Amino acid sequence: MSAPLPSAVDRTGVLASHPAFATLSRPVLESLAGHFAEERYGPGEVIVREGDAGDRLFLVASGSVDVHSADGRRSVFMRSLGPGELFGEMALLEPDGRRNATVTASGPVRVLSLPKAAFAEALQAEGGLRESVLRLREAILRFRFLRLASPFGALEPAMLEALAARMTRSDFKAGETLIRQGDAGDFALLIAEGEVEVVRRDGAEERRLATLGVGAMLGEAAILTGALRNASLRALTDGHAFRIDRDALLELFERDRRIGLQAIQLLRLRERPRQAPNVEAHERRTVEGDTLHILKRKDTGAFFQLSESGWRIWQSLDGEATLREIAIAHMLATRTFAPQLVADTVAALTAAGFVEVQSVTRDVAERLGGRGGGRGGDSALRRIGAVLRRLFVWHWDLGSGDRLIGSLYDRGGHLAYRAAGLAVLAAIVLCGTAAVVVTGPEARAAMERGWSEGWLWLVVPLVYASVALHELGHGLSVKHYRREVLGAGLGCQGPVLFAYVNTSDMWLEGRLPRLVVDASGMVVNMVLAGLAGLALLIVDDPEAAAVLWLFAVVSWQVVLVNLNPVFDLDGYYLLSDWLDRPNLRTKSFRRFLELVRSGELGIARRHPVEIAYSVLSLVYVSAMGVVLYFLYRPLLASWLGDAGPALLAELGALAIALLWYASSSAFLSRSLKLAWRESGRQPAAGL
Amino acid sequence: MREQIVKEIVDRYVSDETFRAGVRADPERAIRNAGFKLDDEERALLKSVDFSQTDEQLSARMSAGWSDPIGTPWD
Repeated sequence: MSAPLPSAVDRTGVLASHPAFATLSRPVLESLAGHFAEERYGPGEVIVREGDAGDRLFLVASGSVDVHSADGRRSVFMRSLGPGELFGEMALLEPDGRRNATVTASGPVRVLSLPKAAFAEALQAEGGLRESVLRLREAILRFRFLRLASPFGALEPAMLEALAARMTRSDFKAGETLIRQGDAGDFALLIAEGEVEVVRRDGAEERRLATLGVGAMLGEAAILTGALRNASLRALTDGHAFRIDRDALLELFERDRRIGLQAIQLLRLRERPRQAPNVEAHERRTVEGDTLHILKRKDTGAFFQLSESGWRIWQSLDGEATLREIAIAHMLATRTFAPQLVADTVAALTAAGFVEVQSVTRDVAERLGGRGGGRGGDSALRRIGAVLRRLFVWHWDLGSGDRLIGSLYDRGGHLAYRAAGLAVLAAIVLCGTAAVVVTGPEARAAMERGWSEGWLWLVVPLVYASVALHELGHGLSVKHYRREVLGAGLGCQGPVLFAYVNTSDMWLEGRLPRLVVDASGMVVNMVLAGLAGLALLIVDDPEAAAVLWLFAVVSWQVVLVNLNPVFDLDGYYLLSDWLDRPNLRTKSFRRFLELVRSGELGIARRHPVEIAYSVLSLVYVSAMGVVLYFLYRPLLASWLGDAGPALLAELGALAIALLWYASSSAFLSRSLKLAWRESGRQPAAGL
Repeated sequence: MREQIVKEIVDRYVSDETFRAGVRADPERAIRNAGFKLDDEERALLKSVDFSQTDEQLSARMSAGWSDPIGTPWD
């Protein structure tokens, strides 16, 4: 059962609640209320139709109505209106007197209607109704313009209203310069009437880039990027534009970050990404038979792989086509609608340095993303974390080393890759290892009898030399495939010192060559262990034999440690190359976090390898801390003997376990952080 | 095919989550409900485009996804 209709007194109250009528005196309001008639409409019923002559205005008393305007053959939803809101007044104010929108009841609706003559009479009355209505008209026109003709048309009505309120009108004359090339970009213009040209001056030459009319937005990129104007804007005819200042726009976006990000996405669809210079492209086939396109930046040594779809997008990044045009071209070519993936691909290419596009300034990102200044900068905990990371995770780049390693390969290294060379190496490994096993008891006995410190210290440089040779093995294999060694250096992961060579150039090769490069460092360690074992057969001195035996054992341990696929060791690259999954760790953690966040078991079924890898990695890291604690506690107790309390052994073992957790966490945190960001990513975040 | 209408559909798709979900479920209906009035040619094109797949499914169609930064150690 419906509520009773508002009485005349209620009508006065309803009228007074509208800002346009609120300034009228009580007698004028009561007189006006007497002219209002009550009308009822059912769901979907048309109250006013666009194009019809307007004979009255309406005030919604109860229920709600939907307002639509035609744009060509498209009917655009403008907004919904509820109790106390006015519609239909525009036709009573415009010279042609026609409705500019269709209003339908979205459910049972009661409206109060005021005839045109009574409205005209009220406009003449004292109390500022005319001024209020004209302000309302201007706001509606701006709203309508934003909805129908601006890049913000897809935003929610409340945002458009707020945006309309922040725009200022700027009239221009033909020939006037509205934006000057080289100036700071702190506002954007939305052309509401007239025609303008975009011109760029290169030296003495001026070139017209575009002629634009109503609805064109100009200078919005500079608002987001803080860049200087890269072109001038000149009026071709008289007209007017709406000016939106940078601060006003950002303040508005900040009020509702979700909508702010949507607005930025819409603006960024109009960006024109361009391929970066110094990029070369290569092709390779995957194990599944797909063609991958590998991009290489010659100056930075960065690589990026693209599928056929990604490659098509890459080829269209000419600095002329907008992101939106690229997405449409992709849809027409592939019959697949994927604007977000197109945007994500371009964003990933941009982040990796392969595409040039003006990026959003830090302050814009922070204001919308809530990062940085709002949290008071770095916390003490974060600073301590940074110091610990610098202490425990660092590397020292020694330059390319490509020429040196290439020379070593040419001067004999290549022999190891021939059949005879491989046979000799295999024989060394097999015979040497047998010798280590056979002489093991004797060597251990020599060690237990005690040896001089000089012999002991010989093992340390031998191990470090073997680490360098291990890396040389990777480098020689890279040269075997005629690829470039892009870098070499030393580093530290927690308590472990290491050396490395950058073998990224092998991304241009197939799976087998990459596996060979991955494994060749460990092959060097096995050969060194084998050589030490063979030397055991000819060395008489028991202490020297003990050193050789220890070195062989340590070399085999290096091989076993390197087989660990959790950290950035050879085993990880062997596994990811064997599976043909670059960035296996990040991808796996991303899937794992998606699974945890959503609880959707289908993720585990679709990505079993990634889920298994991440679970096993986490189990391994967790379990190893416990293993280290229980392994070192008795060892430390035994070493300390009566010299120290049992608590010291406990604390020592605990410290080792914690050191393990700290170093492995530092190692894995980067992948986890990346994965966390990506697993929680909103659609089109890459825009 | 009017380019402007496709541009507007892309805009709406990227910025409106509800519209995006609707397009994936029933593109013709979602586009019609959003107020876009298509002609026969546009409707035919619409029918020939695959809107149903999620980003993940689209990306997974290729073994390595669409794009993947690789080999940038020590950055």
